[in-house]
Amino acid sequence: MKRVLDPLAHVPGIRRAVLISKDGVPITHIQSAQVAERSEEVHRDTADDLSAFAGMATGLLTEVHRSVDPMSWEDPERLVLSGARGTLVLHVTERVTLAVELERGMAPEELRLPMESVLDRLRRSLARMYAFRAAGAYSSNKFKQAAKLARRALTYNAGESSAQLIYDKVEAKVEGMMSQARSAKAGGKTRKAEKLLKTVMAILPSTDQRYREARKTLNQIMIDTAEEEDD
Amino acid sequence: MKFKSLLSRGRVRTAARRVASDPSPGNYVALAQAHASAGELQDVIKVCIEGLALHPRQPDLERLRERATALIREDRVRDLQRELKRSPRPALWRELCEVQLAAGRLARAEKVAVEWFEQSGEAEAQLFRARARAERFFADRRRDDARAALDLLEAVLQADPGQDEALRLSLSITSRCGAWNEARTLLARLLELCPGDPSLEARFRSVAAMAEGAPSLDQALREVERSGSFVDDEPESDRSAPSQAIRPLLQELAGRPGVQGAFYVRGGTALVQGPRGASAERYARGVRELLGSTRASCRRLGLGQLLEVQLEGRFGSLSSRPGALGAAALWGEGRPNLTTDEALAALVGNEEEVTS
Repeated sequence: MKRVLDPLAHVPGIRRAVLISKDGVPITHIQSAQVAERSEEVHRDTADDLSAFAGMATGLLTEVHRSVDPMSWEDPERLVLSGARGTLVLHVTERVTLAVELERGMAPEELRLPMESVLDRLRRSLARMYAFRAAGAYSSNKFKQAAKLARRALTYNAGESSAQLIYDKVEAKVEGMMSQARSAKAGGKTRKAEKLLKTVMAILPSTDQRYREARKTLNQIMIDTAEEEDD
Repeated sequence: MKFKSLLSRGRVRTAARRVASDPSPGNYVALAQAHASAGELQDVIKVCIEGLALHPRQPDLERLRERATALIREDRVRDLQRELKRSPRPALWRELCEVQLAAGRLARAEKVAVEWFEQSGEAEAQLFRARARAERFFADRRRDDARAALDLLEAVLQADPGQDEALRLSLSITSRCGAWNEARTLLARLLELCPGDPSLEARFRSVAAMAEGAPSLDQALREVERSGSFVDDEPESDRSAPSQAIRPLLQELAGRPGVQGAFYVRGGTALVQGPRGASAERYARGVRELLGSTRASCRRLGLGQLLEVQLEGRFGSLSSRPGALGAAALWGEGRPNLTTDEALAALVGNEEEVTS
């Protein structure tokens, strides 16, 4: 994970770069020798301490969200705080925040490209991780979980081919189950059809066309069963 | 090496001749650079001072002077560190601390003081540590720094009750944050050391008059951290009004392509151009809250006094800048740019900063 921050490692003027989880815990970081020295020896109780820094950066984001709430704006994606002794740049993504502290006089705009590069690396790395987990779930026949993980991988990186492969395989399974369910219903094997349709619904998101079709067919089966029982 | 030296001396002579015939800022800069290439840092400073007397606030000359001063200071720091390794003694530690404090390297000054104290256990080292923390407090206004400085000063006073510098620094911290009861006690202790000092007596009387109903030290420090201002800061109402009328400037800004709103907030008043009615009120409140919260966070994060905040998102971008007179914010489409910076600086009365 530390290699994710590599594009920032050689940019001059960076005091530290920290990847912070949503709840304010530092995941990984790089820092200049000067900051490392200070952090160890003098200011354990201040922002020089990494955990405190991560906590304060997350607290700052919360405060900013609270401030922009009355404006009915979505949460900011980038925040630049310039002070007399340095600058803090926060880049917020869905799950993590990238915080970079700069020396005084450094232009935050120069960091835009390296920071985006770090976030791209992070997205690719997360996509690979989710694709790997999706493959594991698929081989254990946990199709619902496999589809969910593959979808998540694809949201991080639409070009993640292994995730796409798993997703295509799950899709093929769904197609097969749908046709089996249709023939089971036609053959009067309502229990089997019901089971297959429920599995399909568990795999697909509720927005999917086939989910709606499965739900409709399942409702139809339940109505038919109820009518038969009434007769 | 000799050839190089001859060459640089030749460059200095040529540059000096140019300055003599035309004392323009560019020629002064060239002469200072020629001295810098020859390694004559003291001469760089002399040329810059001479140039600045003729062309005040010339940014290149100011930058060169600062750079030369910093290099000289670095050299001295290296010498002192070398000498301290050979034969550590209080005078060298003291000078090293002084140099770091003068350079504004407060963390390094504190580190040096800690090393000094660990090696010798001298109370003076603690005093320098307290000075570094106090300077940090004056710059960042974090109450933890003030607390740490006061604790260190108390330790110094326990070791040496006659240390009036420690008392004066404690007095400076307590009186700047408005903890008048503590300030009165400190002044009484100072008067015991310097009985009959007329300035101390006058100060004691004025502080004693304010002590009744004054906040406790903790309350005062918390208020300083929250508001970011000391009691002896110039009140906002006493500051001069902006040189230009704000509303026409706001209207002009709001009329620019891509600008969705321009805001100016000062005290309880907010001027808004762009959003209207209830929205204008909400936006003004949002800008005020944003500046309030980020101002405190900036200090807590060790970044010092807040200069600017920029937010970017699907809403576009919001750039806000607090100034001596008020705070301005500009909401626009796309990313903030130099024009935005200039406009904000003009609104908060910092035009000089942008032009330099």
